[in-house]
Amino acid sequence: MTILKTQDNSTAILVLGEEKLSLKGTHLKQPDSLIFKNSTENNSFVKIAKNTSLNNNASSAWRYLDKLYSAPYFKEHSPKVISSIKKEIQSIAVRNATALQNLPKDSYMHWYAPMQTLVSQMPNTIRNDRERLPKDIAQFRAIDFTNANFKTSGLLQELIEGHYFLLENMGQPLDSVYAQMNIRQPLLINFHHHLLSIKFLI
Amino acid sequence: MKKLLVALITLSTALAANAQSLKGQLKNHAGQTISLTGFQYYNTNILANSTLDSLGFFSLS
Repeated sequence: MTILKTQDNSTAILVLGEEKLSLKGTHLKQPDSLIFKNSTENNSFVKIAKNTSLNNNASSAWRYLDKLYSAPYFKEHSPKVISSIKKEIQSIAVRNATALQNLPKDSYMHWYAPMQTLVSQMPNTIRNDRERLPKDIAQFRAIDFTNANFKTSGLLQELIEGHYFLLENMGQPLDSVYAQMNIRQPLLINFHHHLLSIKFLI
Repeated sequence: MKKLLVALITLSTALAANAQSLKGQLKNHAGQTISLTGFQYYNTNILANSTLDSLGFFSLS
């Protein structure tokens, strides 16, 4: 993966697999305008990033209403609305997950997009969506850090920092936080030894 | 023979790296600098940089 960055600090993530990549658009902060010529992977990623962002914004709004409608007054007067809100929150989660699963199984994007989604999701989990905490933690713990795709992904640091940020801010006592941190630490230490050995060989 | 092999590998890697290029147009970034950054585990490397022309055209390789 590569990051395209302009002078005004706008950025876009690109796959540089194709030999000659061509991009047309107005501004990197306007993903609707970005079209890659002859690059299914990059166009898919832009589409997923755009739709995930729309879904997440909508989900935040529905969760706000869900909390508001948990008051006894609404339970009594608007039970159908409460049910609709919960259904839509669930539908959005399914749509996001399906979009990631539908990426071609043999593509780099099939591996990369869920990782990138986790990276961008973790701060939001702490701020607005604490119900996601167990899911984000489980997803991190299931990651195979020895996967060669990590080498050029640029995701390692953000994934690890994001995970520790989650643990530190999940509102549990420190001893519990340390215990949670230790669960994946031996594997991460082994991974760093693996990296050091690669560096040594080079 | 070993040196020849190393030279061939180096040359093919360089050619492969050169084959990757990005060109395009981003109208609202006209006149700005633009860069492409790659990664190797925890390290970042600037692969190319350039300046967009007055119409927003650029080429990075």
